[in-house]
Parts: sequence; C-alpha cells; structure tokens
Amino acid sequence: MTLLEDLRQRRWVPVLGAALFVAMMAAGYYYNLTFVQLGLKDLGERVLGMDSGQVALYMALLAGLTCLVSLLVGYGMKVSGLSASFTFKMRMAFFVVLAQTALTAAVSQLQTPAAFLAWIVCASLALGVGVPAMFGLTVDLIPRPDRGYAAAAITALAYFLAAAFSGQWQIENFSAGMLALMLPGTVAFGILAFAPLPFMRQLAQQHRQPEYAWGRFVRRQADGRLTVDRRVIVVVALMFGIFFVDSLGFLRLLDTPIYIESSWQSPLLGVRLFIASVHVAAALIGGVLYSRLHENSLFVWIFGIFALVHFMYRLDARLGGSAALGMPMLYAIAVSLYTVVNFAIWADLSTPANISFNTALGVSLSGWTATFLSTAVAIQFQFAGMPLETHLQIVNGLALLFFVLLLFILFVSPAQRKTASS
Amino acid sequence: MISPNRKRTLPAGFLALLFSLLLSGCSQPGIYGLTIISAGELEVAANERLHGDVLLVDGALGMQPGSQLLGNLFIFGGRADIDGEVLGSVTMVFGELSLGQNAHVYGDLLLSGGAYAANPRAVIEGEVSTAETLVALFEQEENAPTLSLRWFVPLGLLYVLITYVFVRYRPRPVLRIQAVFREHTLAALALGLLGWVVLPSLLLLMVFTLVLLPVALLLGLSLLLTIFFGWIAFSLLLGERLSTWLDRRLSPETTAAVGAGLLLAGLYLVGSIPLLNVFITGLLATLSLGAILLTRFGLTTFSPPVDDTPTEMFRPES
Repeated sequence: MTLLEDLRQRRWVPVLGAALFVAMMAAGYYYNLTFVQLGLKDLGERVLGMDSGQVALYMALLAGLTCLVSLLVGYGMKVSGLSASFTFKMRMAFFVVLAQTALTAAVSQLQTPAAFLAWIVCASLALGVGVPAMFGLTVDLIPRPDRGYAAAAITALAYFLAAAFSGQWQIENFSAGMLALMLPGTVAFGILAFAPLPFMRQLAQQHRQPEYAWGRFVRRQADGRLTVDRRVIVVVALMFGIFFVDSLGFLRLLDTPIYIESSWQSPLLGVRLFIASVHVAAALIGGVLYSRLHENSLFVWIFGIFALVHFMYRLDARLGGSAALGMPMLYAIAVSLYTVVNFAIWADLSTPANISFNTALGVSLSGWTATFLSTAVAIQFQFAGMPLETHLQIVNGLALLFFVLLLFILFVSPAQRKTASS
Repeated sequence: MISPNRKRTLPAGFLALLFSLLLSGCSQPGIYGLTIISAGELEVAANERLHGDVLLVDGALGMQPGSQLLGNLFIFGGRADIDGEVLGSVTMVFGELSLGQNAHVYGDLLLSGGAYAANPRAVIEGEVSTAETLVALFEQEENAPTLSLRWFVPLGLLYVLITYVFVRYRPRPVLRIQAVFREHTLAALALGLLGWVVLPSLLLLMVFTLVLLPVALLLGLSLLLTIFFGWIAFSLLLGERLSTWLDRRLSPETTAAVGAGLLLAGLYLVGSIPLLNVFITGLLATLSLGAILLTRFGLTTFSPPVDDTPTEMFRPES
C-alpha cells in the first residue's frame, strides 16, 4: 500500500489528501443513499400527498437528467483539458456542495408537486456536475494500489452511518442531519478549494506521478498510444446490470413492510447495527479482493449473491414471510461489494485526461440510467398488479443470467485457460 | 498426459454424474412429493396415505388414527397433531407438536424448539434428541479428554499418513495452496470469509428444496474437503519452517508429515482453551477455503492481476 508507506515515512500530504477524498465521497454517498433515495420518496408521498407512481416518475426524471448533465459536463471537461485540473475539480465540487446545501435547506419549503419538480431539476444539475468533478478527484488523491482500500473505506463509512443511524426514513430527519454535516463541511471545503494553501498546491501536482495517473487497466501500446482495452464496455454493461438488479429488487422490498421493518428499519438498534457491521465487513473484504482478483471474479460473486438472496426472499414470501435476518445480511454483502467496485473501477480505467468523462459514462450511464429504467419497470409492474413473488422471480432470473454468463466467461475465456494451464 | 479423446469425455462424464446426482433426489419408488403447509389445515383421515415429506411452516397438520405419512415431517411453525404413523423422522424447530396415543414414529424425533407433548402410549422407534440433550452430549465430549485422546491418536496418525501420501503423489496442488498461504494471506482470508458466509446459506437453501439435497451433500462434502486440503498445505508450510529452523533438509512428503504432526499437536494443546481453539480452527478453515477458491482446488496457480501500467510521469498531451 502506497499510502501506508507514506504514513510510515510521515509524508502527511498524500495521507491528508486521501482522507479528504474518503470523507468527501462518504458524505456524498451517504447523502445520496439517505436524503435522495429515501428522503425524496417520503417527501413526495407523505408530505406532498402524491401517489407513489408519480413520485417514482419524478425520481426517474432525476436519474435521467443527472445522467444527461453528467455526460455533458464530463465530456466538456475532457475536451477542454480541465479533467486533469485538480483546482478546477475542487472548485466545482465546492459549488456542488454549496448548491446541495441550499437545496437541502430549501426542501422543507416545498408545498406543491410543481415546486418539487423544480427542485428535482435543480438537484439533477447539482448531482450531474458533482459526478465528474468528485469522482475525477480519484486520480489526484488516491494512488492506484490503494483504490480498492479507499473505496472500501468510503463504502464502509457511508453504509454504516446509513444503516445504523438513519432512524425514521423521513425527509425532516434526513435534511436536519445532512444540514448539520453540510454547513460546516461547505465552509471547510470552500477554504480548501480557494485558499492558497501549500499542501493543496502539492496535492494539485500528484496526478502527474505514475502511481496516481495511470489506472490499473491503462496500457501503453507499442506505437505509443495509451489504451484501455474493451473492458470499459464490459464493465459499464456489468455495472448497469448490477444497479438494475439491485434497484429493481430493492424498490419492491422497500414496499414490503415485513422485510423492511425487520431489518433496515427495525426498531431494534441491535438489528440495525448488525446490518451496518455486515456492510463494513463486506466493504473491507471487497477492498482486499478488488486489489487481488480479476474483476470478473468479483462480479461473479456479486451476481451470485444477488441471485441467491432474491431466491431466498421469493421462497420466504411464498412460505408466509418469516423475514429471517440472513437475507438482509446477504443483501448487504452484495451491495457493499459492488459499491466498492463502483468507487474504484472508473479511475482504474482512466487517466487524468479522461477520468471525468469515463466516470460520467460509468457512474451515470450504469448507475443513474439503471435506476431510471428500473424505476420505470417497477412502476409498470406495480400498475399491472404483479405479486411480490413474481417480481422477485424476475429479478432473480436476471441475476442468475448474469451469474451464469460470467461463470462461463471465467472458465472458458482464453485468459482464464492460460492461467489454468500453469 | 491426458489424451484429447479423454479430455472431451471428462467434462461429459462429469456432467452425466452431476445429472444423475440431481435426479437421484427425485427417484424413490416412483412417487415423490413434498407438501408444504403455510396456512390453513391439512387433515389426513384414517386409512389415508400422504406421500413424501411434509414441511409445516404455519397452519395445522392433523393425522387421525390409521393414517400414514410416507416421509419425514419438518415443523418450522404451526401445529401438528399426530395420531397416525410417520414412517420417517420428525424434526421441530418452532411450532407445536402433539403425539396422540396411536402415534407411531418410525424414525428419530429431533426437537430444537417449540412446544412438545406426547401421550405416554405414543411410540418413537428412533432416537429422541432435544436441544438440551445435544448440549449435554457436546459438554460430555468436551469434558472427556481421555476419551477424545483415544480417538485423536489413531485419527491423527491416519491424517499424517494421508498427508505423506498426498504430498508424495500429488504435490503440485498442495504447493499451489501453500503458495497462497505464504504470499496471499490477506486475499485468502477475505475470500474465505466471504465463502463461509455465502456457501453455507446456499447449502441450507439447497437442503430446504429437498430435490437439491444430493447437490447439497456434495457441496457440504466439498467444504469439508477444503478444510482437509488446507490442513495438508498448512502442514507442509509448518514442516518447511521447522526444517529451516533446524537446518535439516527432508523430502517434501516427510516435511509435510512432520508438519502434520506439529499441527495436530498444536490443535490438541489449544483444544482445551475455550475461545482460542475456535479462533484458530476457524482461521485455518477460512484460510483454507480462500486458498482453495483462489487456486480452484489446487488446479491453478493463483497470481494477482499484473501491473503493466506505464511508469512515466503524466503529461497533459499524453
């Protein structure tokens, strides 16, 4: 671990930079997990009295707009060369945090669906700019050998806080908690982004070093060209599949009180702490495995666990719903594993010149688009009156399909056969 | 070297074996059924037969005198009033079980929870085990060191012999697993932990479906073999460390056998320390499973992804 060596040698600047990145991304992801994905649903349904279909449409719009803005901003940063500018990315991230703080404060003032829609549009702009800016800082602040571990730290922090301390899933709780975090955070971020601090100038040069600049999958060809092999397309497709499966399944579980109230929303702190601890342990495992395994192996485990857990939920629903804790435990493991991959892999497919666009492509196209599509599909299922078992059967089937395909690739691909013969 | 023809028939043979195993869960005398009761009431009248196993999750099962259940009864909830014949075993985890005066259980009765009542004239031909008797049995084993030593020594010698033979005739898989223990300990630990959480859940689910029971048995056996295999590799590692320390060169198989003896002695010594024995056994099992998964049961050499990235500094125009 490069950062561990920096720590031993008392080179504090890289360590502080990594800590800054982890804190920023963990806070951002926690905001996304709680306030955006759960709080806005509550705002629309409970506070504004909208029906769940309409709220789902607004959330789908949020995802779609965010994806569009993200791609445009990411591409713009790539062609203008600003993708490699640490200072520019920090300042953009500051404005994103400022906008999100203002939007979080304003959410309590929303009285009508029209106002909610306007808020959604503004939030999409902020999120869309935030993705290429914040993810783009990976090449500046996290060296390549440590990206798995940094991703594990972000995932562990965000999910631990979300699972253990989210309390009631209501917009008022989320916005109060987020504002308490965001107000001082915005001030601190502003100082870091604009004040001429010596260690920030040093951080601004880190991306030139080879261990920061070149992602794990970047290669120099014989003719001098830098390439990333076809992996990027495969990874985008696989991450899309993961987000789609997770979102489609969880949206339905979210509307099934017996499963939510016995796990993520359990009144027992012990249950919530258990799930939070599982998230942390799985994130750490994911961090180690990301660094040591071929990425396809990790995808196999993720899809395999999703297939297993959705089958368990389906069987449980058919047998009357005992809501055993083993199911959310496995779910938490799968979610932590893929979140680690999501935080690490886009930088590993990139250089400072293209990370903003690659991140936009990856996170937005796979993450936000999958959410958009799965929400639309879930609405369709709901209006068709599809029972829980059937819904979960479809999700299970999708996960199993990806799992079997990946197993086939893992055991039959030429690279794997070459390894097998050693 | 395996001939090309044999290479083609090996996967086909394996698939045929797997298929047979899957089908074996569905064979028996031509009639097989699984009845799941999750609500309502099922009453088996006199002279009526219920084929296959019964899984009672909720609701009620009633068996009148003269009725027969040609399978096993698993109770996870609900209420079972048995006054007929159960040709298999009865297992209760939760719920209520009542055996009437005409009740006759030909198999075992295993009670790990729930409420149980039996008429004194009810007949149970197999063993009756409750959670308390299982705990007592376990404690008896724990408190009988002379008894365990009587089994430990011959089993230990057998293990040392198997280790010797395995390393003598099949050294490459062992060496590959040993290399993972030495050079990729963290990866083996991480993957082993993941495996031990996910694979038993898969195993339980397979058992639950009943039709996948043979596959579950195979998986369970494989998990036990991973521990055994891992122990052999660890024995070789221990033996090599001892050889280095003593500055003695021994053949690999002898080194492994010596290491096996050391490992067993160590496990026996820590066996009496309550938490430490669980920790060390668990750690070994986790590392073994991780190493087995990384090397695919020792069939491939594990190597992490190669870092072939450029080594020059980044320039904006690159």
